[in-house]
Amino acid sequence: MNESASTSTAHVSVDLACFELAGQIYAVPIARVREILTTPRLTPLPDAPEVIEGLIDLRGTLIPVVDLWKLLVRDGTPAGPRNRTVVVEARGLVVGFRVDRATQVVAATADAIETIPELTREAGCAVVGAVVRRKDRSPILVLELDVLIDRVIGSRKSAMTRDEVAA
Amino acid sequence: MRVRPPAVVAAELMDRIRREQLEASLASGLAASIHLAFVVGIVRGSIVFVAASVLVVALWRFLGRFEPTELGGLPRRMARAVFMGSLLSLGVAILGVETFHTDAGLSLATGRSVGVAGVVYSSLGAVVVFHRTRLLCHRFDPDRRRGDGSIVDLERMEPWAKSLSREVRAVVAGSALAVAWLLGDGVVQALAQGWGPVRITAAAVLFASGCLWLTSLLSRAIAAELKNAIADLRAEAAGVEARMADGLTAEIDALGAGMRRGDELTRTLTHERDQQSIEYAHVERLVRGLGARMETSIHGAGELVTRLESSRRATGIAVLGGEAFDRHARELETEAEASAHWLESLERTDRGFGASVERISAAARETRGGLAELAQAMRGVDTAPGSTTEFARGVLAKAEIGRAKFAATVAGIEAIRSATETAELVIRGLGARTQEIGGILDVIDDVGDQTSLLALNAAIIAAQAGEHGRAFSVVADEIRDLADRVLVSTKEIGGLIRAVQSESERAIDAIEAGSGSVSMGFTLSTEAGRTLDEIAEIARETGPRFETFVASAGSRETALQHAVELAGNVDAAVAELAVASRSREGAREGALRGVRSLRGAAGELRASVRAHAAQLAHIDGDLGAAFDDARSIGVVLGDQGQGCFELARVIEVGAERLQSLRAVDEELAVAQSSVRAQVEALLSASRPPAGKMTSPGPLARTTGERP
Repeated sequence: MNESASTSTAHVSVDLACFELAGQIYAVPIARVREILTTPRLTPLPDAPEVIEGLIDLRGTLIPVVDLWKLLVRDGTPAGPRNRTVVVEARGLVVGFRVDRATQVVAATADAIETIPELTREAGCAVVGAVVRRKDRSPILVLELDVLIDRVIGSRKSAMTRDEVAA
Repeated sequence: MRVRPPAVVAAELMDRIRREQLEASLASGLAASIHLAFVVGIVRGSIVFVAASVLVVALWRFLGRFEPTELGGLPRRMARAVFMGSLLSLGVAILGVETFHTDAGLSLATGRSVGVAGVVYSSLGAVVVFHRTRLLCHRFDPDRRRGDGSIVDLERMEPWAKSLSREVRAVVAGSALAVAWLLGDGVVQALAQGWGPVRITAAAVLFASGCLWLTSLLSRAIAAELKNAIADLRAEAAGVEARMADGLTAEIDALGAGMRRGDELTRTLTHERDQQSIEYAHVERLVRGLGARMETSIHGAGELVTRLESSRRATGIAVLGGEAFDRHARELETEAEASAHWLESLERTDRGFGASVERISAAARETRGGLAELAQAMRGVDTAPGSTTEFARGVLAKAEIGRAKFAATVAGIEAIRSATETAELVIRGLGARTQEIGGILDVIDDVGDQTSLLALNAAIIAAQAGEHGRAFSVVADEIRDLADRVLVSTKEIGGLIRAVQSESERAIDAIEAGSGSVSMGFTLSTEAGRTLDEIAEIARETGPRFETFVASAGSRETALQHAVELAGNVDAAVAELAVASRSREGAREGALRGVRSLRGAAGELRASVRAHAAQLAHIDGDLGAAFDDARSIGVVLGDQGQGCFELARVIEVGAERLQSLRAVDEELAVAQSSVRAQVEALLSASRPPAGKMTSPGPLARTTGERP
């Protein structure tokens, strides 16, 4: 459980906090997870990008909450209940990701972790750093939190460029 | 290796220079006296010479320029030098006078005396050189020099040897000049005397050979002295070298070895210090990291304790909820039981009711038949009025029976209605209860959900706490497992509750439908009863007032028609009642089934709730244990953290000490290097003189020129 899942493959096992979003199991390294909350009441922010749903007050700390569904899935499957918020640390920032359901803590062995194929990574699909294979079940997608944070930071910019293109 | 202070060496040197100056001036004075002695005559000259010598020595001594003890054997040497010089000069003069004695003029005599003086001076110079050589040799006398700075002396010897060499050259040149002059003078004299060439050549050869012989004598003496001195010096140098090789070299080597060892030691020490400091830094970093981890762990443990507390509170609520739930479930069960009982009694009543309905139906049919017969008979009364009274009596009797049966029917229906109402009430209560149970289930579900989340967070904290969290993660997993099981059983209970609710609703619907039928049956029965009452009334009235009855056949007919109609109605109502009864029976069966399943469900629910409560109690216990564990972990972590910080402090102090030790090391290294430089300078200072002594030096060259 190091800076990213790809470097952690070198270790014997890595603890992953798993959660469900739109029927798919995702995971983040447990070292980066601060805690998992029942999504509390959000204070919406005016003029915030679409993905940032609002702020929560977690024991005196204001934390922005990002709708992971809007960031990762966006369309196709309808948004789930998203009644859990996974509070993580990345790039020195603390951010909450709204997910459907927190499932479990999984100790993934090194040989069960597979880095994402080079082609998909090169094609810009960098939010998923690795995949944990599971017997008889769909694999767990290990998220690259730093890339996610970059996406959140870049969301307004891309939205603006979209608007400009539309204009 | 004692080096004398330069001031002492300089003072000594000055002393020696002064002494040599004295000696030189003394020698010059003596030479002048001897010259004078030759000019005024040998005897008188000798007297003047001795007197002058005594005077000069006395004067020097009076002036106190040097101590006689310090001078050592100087007067003796001086006397010897004077004696030798005088002897030599005398010999040369006699030889010159006897050989070339003529009646030459004053100028020739003056020239001769100048030549003689030159010879004397050169001879004296040779004597001085000889003396200086001896002095020099004496200076390097090993016995005298013991304990002195030999290297300093050896170094000083070189310029002296050089000056000696210059003096020897001057003496040789002077002597040669004097001899040449004398030879030339002799040749001039001989030509003036009218000597033949053979005679002149013989005299010149004789003179030259005499001079050469004298010179060679002196040279040999000097050479012997120098040879001795050089031999001494060689021996001395060899001794010095040997000493150097044996002592100094060994000493230097030892020093070098010691220094090398020191260097090596210093290097090792520095290396070790470096290593130590690296290790210190590493340990410090480790300890700091450990401290930071500890802090995180302590923080995590604190949070864990807080979370566990809230978890425990939640579990407590859940337990309380479970208890309330249990209570509710028990009530539910009791009520289901009561409902079932009611329904059973209802069934029993219903069964009797059905039978009575059957009977009523039969009676109604009979009544209708009877009435029809009555009507027939009544119609026939007109033709046969005699039997009318009898008929009327029969009608009355039958109407009475019908009325009684109707009354029973009404009572039965009444009972059914009230039982139905009770059942409805019970089932409605059941519905309300199941709603409540649903609410409680929601609470339990929520609590289970929270517990699951708490367990997940606990697992996360346990994983982050690393090794310390390992034990706790097991507990967290177990808690999560239990929470999941609770959620599953809550879901099961929810399903059961929903089933019970739908069954209850169905039962209520059926009961409501039955209740409508019952009401209708009741109304109809009541109406039928009233009609029968009217018939009975009419029949009773018919008896005493048959005449009227007969007379009013039309109205009788009408009444009868009405009665028959009513009876038909009753029959229909009864039939309807029977149908209603049957449908109600179906509904009742459904309700009963529902209630039975409800009872089963309630039983299951209770069992579930009990299991849930047990699980909750287990969770509570686990949480308590985990709580205690976490607290003790917190305490241990606190202690360890404290220890870590103390360790870090100790290491810091150690690092500081190491730093100062390294500073000391560096100073040591600097001191060592300066010592090394000094020793190397010493080595380079001591080695070249030793090398020079072994090779032929200026002294050897000087002696080489002489013979």
